Amino acid sequence: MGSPLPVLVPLAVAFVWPPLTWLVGRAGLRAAHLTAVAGALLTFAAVLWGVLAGGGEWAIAWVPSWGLEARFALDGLAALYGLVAAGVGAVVVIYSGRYIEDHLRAKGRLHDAPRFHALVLLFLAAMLGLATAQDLLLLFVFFDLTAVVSYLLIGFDHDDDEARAASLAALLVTAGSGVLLLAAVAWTWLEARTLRIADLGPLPVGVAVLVLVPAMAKSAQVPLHFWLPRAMVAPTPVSAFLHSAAMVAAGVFLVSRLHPILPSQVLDALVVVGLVSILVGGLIALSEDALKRILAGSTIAQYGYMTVLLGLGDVAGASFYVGAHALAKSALFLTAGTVTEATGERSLSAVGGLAKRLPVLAVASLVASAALAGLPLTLGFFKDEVFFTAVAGRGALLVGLGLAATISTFAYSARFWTGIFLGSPRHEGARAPASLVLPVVLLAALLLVGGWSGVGLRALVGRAAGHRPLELAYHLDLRPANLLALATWCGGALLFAALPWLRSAIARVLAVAGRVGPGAIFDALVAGLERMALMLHDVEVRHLRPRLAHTLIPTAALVGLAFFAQWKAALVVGPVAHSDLPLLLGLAVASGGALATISTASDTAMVMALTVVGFTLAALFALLHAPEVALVAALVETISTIMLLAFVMPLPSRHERAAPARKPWIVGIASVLAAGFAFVVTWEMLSRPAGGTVATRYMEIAHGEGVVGRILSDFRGLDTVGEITVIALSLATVAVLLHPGPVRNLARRVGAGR
Amino acid sequence: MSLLVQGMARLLFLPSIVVAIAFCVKGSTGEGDGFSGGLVAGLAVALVLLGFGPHEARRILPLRYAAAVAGVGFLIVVGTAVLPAILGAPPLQNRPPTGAQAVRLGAIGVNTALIFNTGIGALVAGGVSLVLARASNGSGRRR
Repeated sequence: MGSPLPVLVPLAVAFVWPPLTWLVGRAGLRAAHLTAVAGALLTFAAVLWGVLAGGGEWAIAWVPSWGLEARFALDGLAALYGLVAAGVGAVVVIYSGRYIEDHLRAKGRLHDAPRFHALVLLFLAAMLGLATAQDLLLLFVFFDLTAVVSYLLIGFDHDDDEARAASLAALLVTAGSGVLLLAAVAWTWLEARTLRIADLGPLPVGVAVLVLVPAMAKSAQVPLHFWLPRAMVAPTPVSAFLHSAAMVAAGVFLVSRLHPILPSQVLDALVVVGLVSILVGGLIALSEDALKRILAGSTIAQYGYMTVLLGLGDVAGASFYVGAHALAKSALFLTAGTVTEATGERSLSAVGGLAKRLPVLAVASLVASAALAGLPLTLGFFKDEVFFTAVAGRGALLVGLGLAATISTFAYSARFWTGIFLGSPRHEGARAPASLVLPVVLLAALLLVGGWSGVGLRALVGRAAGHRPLELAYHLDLRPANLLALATWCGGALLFAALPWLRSAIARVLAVAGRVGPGAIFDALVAGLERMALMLHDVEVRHLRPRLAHTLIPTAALVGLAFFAQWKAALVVGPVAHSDLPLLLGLAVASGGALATISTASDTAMVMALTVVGFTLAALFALLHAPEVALVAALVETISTIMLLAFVMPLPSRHERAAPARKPWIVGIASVLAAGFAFVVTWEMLSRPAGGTVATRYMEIAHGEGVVGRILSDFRGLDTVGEITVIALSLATVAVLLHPGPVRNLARRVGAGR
Repeated sequence: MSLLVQGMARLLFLPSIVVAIAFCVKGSTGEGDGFSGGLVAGLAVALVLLGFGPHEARRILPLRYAAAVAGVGFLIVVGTAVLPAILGAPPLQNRPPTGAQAVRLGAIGVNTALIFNTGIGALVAGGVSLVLARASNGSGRRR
């Protein structure tokens, strides 16, 4: 680990290209796609160069007072995940040029295409950052960045309610559980005072659990798996990238990265979680009808395999599995997308017999399906071999469950491919452009080359695991792995043959599970949150008067307590000289204005009366030799008068408004009490002896001569930051409320909900 | 009336902006600060809105960038607070520090508080213009 370039160059390329693509998109859509393709290929080339150059490491001190640093390294694990993400990403970007154009043209928002490419590239960049991060906090940052970008990508069709709900579910599950990861980071820092992974000892079980829950949520493992089938409303290239090679891989990556410091108890839990996920995902894949949902179920199950492997301590096997699965699954997702493009159908029952119409796609997809099912001559055979080798020595239960898992994989792979390409031809006019077929062919070719004893990927995995290179080869003997593979093919064929009778039963089981399962609980929680928000909104907004009273009365009580607790001076009436006459006159005018505000007939007159008060006070500051304060007061008064008038003038006049029922004597008593209180508090403060405070001393050394400037930007600058934040928020809120658009619709919906 | 306001708006807009900038910049040596500067700029925009109405004003002034100006200003303010903290100093640390001689650029004293003031000015000017422009869209419907 020496030179920083092998890690810096890929990261720089990856993070420069998303904004570049977006900018180029303003010039032209085709140019944006070409830029995106170039960016993805360059990123892949840069990672490959970095790997061939032997990797590298780069660190920069970051908040040195807390001992934090940003450390990136292109080590073996980073190389594997980086290459897989960049490789599949490049293929997907090539594919999505034509696909997203057709997709968006149908919706009439073709101009959004560059944003799509930029987001895909940004996701790739986030994955690279995650893969190379050597620091827990950085891991968290990139982990969350992938969640945020995936939210934008899954909900890319923001005109579709279902897509928005699905992206929100994905965000809540993956980024929401990501908060646990942040908690784990904070806990680790408090205990170890460092976040560098290489310096950390074994993690406490609590921290490990806080790490594993978000990791499993990201990899769509039961019980946090339900977001993945819903996310299938995303455009197909998104699924092909995020839901095969990138987003879901982030969870398994996190566990692999931290595997050396995870305690053994939680690793056992991983085995259980993985096995349940294989079962649930397998059932979904065997029974679903929508093409992409079959693949989503398969992804849940396949990541279950990797979770089991990680639980059994086989990081090398899991890493290999990630690579092999990513190639096969993205090819199948792209197949589903091309089939939908060619026929307009999205479900397995609506397509069939496409082998004649789309022969090239059929062959490429057959290779990918065979790889997923673990047939020899493809890379997929080795992923199953790795899995069998790992479970073989671990007792009959694990072997049996593992066998059941691979049998179901075989069956749903066969179901997917035969359902699309065999049977009676239904779509005579179906045709697919080469740009939607060639990427699949490319991935299939890679799977076949890898089937030649797993070249390439094996070397990568050897580097990733560091200690134990994988043994991958075809052995023509009766070793357990081979026997299990044979059993898988026979059992899988049987299961596939029996599927027509079993499918409805599985669907019934899943329907029952769907009503009480984690997905239903999540929906109930979200619905409850929404109801609570509406209820709070009602309490806050419906009755303004009591609402204000609830805020103002406790505030007044606190202010009163503070003042009367440290009552310093008796109420003093200072000397009044002749020169104070203008001051007294001004105060009299202000008082008159104040009285006028409560007795005016129209809103406009009330605003004007208030303005009289304000400007008189501003003039008084000038009389008191405080020109800067007077300046600010006059400016504020002008702006607020204009704004108040702008808001008050469109209102219906008072006669047209239904006057709220109120009892005059209560209002009178409350007003007198409030005014008297304010009067006494102010008088007490003015009676205190002046000068000699910290503020006075500070004023002398602060920059500048203007009092207001010195106070705002120097003496209490941090308070100004807080206040300016409040001002920014309220201005933004007012602007949004004034803007005709979604928020008004929301208000209408809230109003209708009452 | 409208003609008079339009003439005033034409005459006063640029001088007002100059005054606003002067307030922002002079904050560290004399009267004024970013907040006042922003308010003056907002008033100038209000004058144009009053004289020409929302549609014409949008044509004359780049009002669609008001939100962006406010956002950038806010980021500057938060940035001046956070950046020193990241670099290991107390938040909002002044360079050159409080009490030391400011770097003189003509009549202007330059220190990092100037950046802070500029941010506040941009935030206030942008926010006020945004709200006024939007409010003027809705008003006048009844009268």
